[in-house]
Amino acid sequence: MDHLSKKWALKSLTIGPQSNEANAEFWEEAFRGLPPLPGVVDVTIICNYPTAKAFNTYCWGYFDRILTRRDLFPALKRVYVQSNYGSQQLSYRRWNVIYDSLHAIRMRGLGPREFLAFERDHRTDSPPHETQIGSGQATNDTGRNGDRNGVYVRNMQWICVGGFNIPKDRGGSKYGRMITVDRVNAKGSVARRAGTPPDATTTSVVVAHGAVGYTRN
Amino acid sequence: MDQYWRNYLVIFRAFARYRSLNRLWLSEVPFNFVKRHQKKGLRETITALGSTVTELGLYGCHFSSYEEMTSLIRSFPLCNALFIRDCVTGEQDAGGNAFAGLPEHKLSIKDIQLCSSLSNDLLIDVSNLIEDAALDVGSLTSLACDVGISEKTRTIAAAVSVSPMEQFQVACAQPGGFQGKRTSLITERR
Repeated sequence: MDHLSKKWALKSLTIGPQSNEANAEFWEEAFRGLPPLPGVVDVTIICNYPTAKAFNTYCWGYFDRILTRRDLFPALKRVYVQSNYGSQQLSYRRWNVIYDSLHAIRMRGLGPREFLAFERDHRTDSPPHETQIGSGQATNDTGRNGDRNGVYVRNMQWICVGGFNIPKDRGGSKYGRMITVDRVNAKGSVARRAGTPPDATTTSVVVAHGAVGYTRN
Repeated sequence: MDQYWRNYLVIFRAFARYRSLNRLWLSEVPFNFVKRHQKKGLRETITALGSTVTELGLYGCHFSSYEEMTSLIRSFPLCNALFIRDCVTGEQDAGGNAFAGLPEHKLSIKDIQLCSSLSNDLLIDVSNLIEDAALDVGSLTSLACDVGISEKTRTIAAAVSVSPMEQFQVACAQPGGFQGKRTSLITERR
């Protein structure tokens, strides 16, 4: 990957979603020859486990090693971790295991941000959890456990809810029947406008199985 | 399916008429089932939509061929953001391409997201798509893709090495993509 540094001006790097079978060797091979990434400030690691039994720490040790290399990530300030079992949060005990695996990252003061809350309020039975939708980063990164189920929408203009097969990272939900498109205002709240017909002000549309969602300016 | 397509065309035309759409996301649209008599109308509608659409999302759409998908993509000259997930492309020859004959524009892409939640077989290779759809990635700043196998990461990085990349997301959601040995790093420090 020597050529990365010549033209790229990476500010953020996201690794995952990755299968629970991801391991250190896979990522070492994928990032072999990784050049210094002097502009990367945020790194997000997403690891999904299909079931609680599938939980493992195959990958975390590698990330703990590589992300703490100052020669590769001199400007790194934040590490985000998103990990769950399907749609459920990790148990407190599992979260603890990840916490331990990322020892070097924590010692360097890089986070993961979720652990800041974890360390502040370890009495809770649930681990901190972040749901990220779209390309935006968390608007509310206070890390308080009370915010762990929040939907963070900064830098995102539109989301679609109830879509058929619209992936969650594009704002979709496989459980809905009717597609609606919501506008996310500057404060991050969602103003839903569904069921209104398209007209000259319509700027966004989703079509699926004849159902349609759209929104206006 | 015929009724589906009548509905689709009505919807497409309604939006095409206003010429105001800039984001078009299509989910599970069966382009492989477009009837012969509907193709002309579909092409005209796509051409009209192409005058405004800047963001195209194809989610779980079925195409009669890979060429048909690339033809559709190239029908949107202003498109600078392309999202493809779980699309299925058949093996039909070029005669089945519903979008054959449409102008094949060179898209200047800033944002690409390509992934598959189904299987590696359905994974569309970013580097191939860039070449096959003649995408101009000279201004690409954001790329999210599923690499499938670890070695692919470097191939993809090479394909966009001329781009001023600011955001890079590399995923591998399929177990089949992992070639290395499993290593357990569980520690019990606490």
